[in-house]
Amino acid sequence: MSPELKGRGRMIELRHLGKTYKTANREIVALEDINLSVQDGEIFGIIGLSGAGKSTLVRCVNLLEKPSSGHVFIDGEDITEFDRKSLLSLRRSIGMIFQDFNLLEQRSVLRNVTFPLEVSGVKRAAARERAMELLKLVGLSDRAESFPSQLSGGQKQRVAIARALATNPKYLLCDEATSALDPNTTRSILELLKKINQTLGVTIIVITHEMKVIYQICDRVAVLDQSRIAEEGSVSEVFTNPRSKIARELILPERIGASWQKNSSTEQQEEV
Amino acid sequence: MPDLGLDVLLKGKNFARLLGGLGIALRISVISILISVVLGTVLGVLRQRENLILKAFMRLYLEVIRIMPQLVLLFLVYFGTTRSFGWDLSGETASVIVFSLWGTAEMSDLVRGALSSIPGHQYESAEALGLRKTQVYLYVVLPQAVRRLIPLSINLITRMIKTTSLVLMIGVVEILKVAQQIIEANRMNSPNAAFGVYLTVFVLYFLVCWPISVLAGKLEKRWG
Ligand SMILES: Nc1ncnc2c1ncn2[C@@H]1O[C@H](COP(=O)(O)OP(=O)(O)OP(=O)(O)O)[C@@H](O)[C@H]1O
Ligand SMILES: [Mg+2]
Repeated sequence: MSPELKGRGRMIELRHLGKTYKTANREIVALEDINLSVQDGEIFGIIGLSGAGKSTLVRCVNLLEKPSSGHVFIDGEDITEFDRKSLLSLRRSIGMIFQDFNLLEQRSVLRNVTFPLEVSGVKRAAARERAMELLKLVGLSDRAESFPSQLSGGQKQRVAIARALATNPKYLLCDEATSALDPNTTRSILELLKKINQTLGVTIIVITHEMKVIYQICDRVAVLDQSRIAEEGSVSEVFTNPRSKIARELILPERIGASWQKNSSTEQQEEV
Repeated sequence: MPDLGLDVLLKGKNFARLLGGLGIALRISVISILISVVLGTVLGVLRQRENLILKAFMRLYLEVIRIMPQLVLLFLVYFGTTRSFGWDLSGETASVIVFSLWGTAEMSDLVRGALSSIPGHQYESAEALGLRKTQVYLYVVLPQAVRRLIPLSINLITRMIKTTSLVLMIGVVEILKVAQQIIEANRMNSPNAAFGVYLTVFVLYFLVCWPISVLAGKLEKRWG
């Protein structure tokens, strides 16, 4: 994180956020009293075991999920009070990528990337130009006319990243974006996210259950355990001195692997 | 060469009559198919909704249609309505009603299946891109659902065309009926006519259904 971005304040802020799912026969508490702030320009990690509430949390940030209680502030505005129209334009300023890529199979790579621009009324030529720029950024200029079914998992995720960036968002939410990929591909996708953060200044929230993802790209991390935040701090802080039981469980097996990882990450493996 | 009784077809206007019968059968099919595709799509979309009354109604409707043989339905609509309500439906109208009821039920199943085969995260990521609900349907759900739907509905269409041969049972002058009339008329002088005429009927149905089923297969391969 560059120092001049640091002082700019809290761009995403969650206050007393809670989410309870009501199903036919019971209530499931997915989030409880979550308080977090993500600073402009940083890469913020959220780690936790399966079912901890990570996806629910990140989906509250663009209101794909409506919180049951509490507030979500983005650039100082409480988005839980937004009307539909403001919400839609807000969503265009927050990109999101998923574990399953979610590309449109019937459209070419290029037309997947122009898709969010087309629906928001951008002229075809301008959309195309922007898409080609983004494909260049993610290293897929030569695959513009391919279809998703002809790409590898890592390449699909690159297309999804390009598509998420099409509307020039300030934020990028990544929900287990590398969980379906092998270690080398994971590394190259994480490198790409880091590059996007550094060159475009996009603030990124990364959701994962793997400590090595946090370790490789995040500035700060929150550990989520059973719907609550167990611990929060800079990655080096949490990594060297985990205070909560859950953080120790997640980190200790990784530490041994990490020293190895540091050595091997010098040989850059690009899978494009 | 064995006597297939094909000579009967060449007598008088017999072949033309047979083609006329096929025409009526196809007309019944086409009208029923159009009604079924439209109503079935609407019902299929509505079945996605969590509406208890609609669910109960659809269930009853689908069960009845599935359990009852089409022939029974045909009798029920043709003779039943005359008896109970005093309606004087033509055979053709009765057939269209029955085939539409059946086709609509099947079509709504196909549409519902195609819609629910689209994973939830597709809706989600489309919404995350800032699409309105209608845009999500228009740009994301519909193209994928239609692609799944086309081969399946073509299969339904061929089945509907084939099944129209049933309508002869209630006296529509339809292809098999015409065939039977020809056979009856020639029983004395051409005893093998039955075979020849039915063979011709078979060939005619085959000629109509075969291209459709080839097309279905092709689409399935390309989009499956
Ligand atoms: N739509 C829903 N309806 C009911 N319960 C839900 C729903 N979505 C999530 N939950 C529940 O909320 C809890 C948190 O789920 P969430 O998906 O946020 O976990 P997660 O940390 O992302 O897990 P994973 O790593 O497996 O993706 C779980 O107990 C889950 O069963
Ligand atoms: Mg999840």
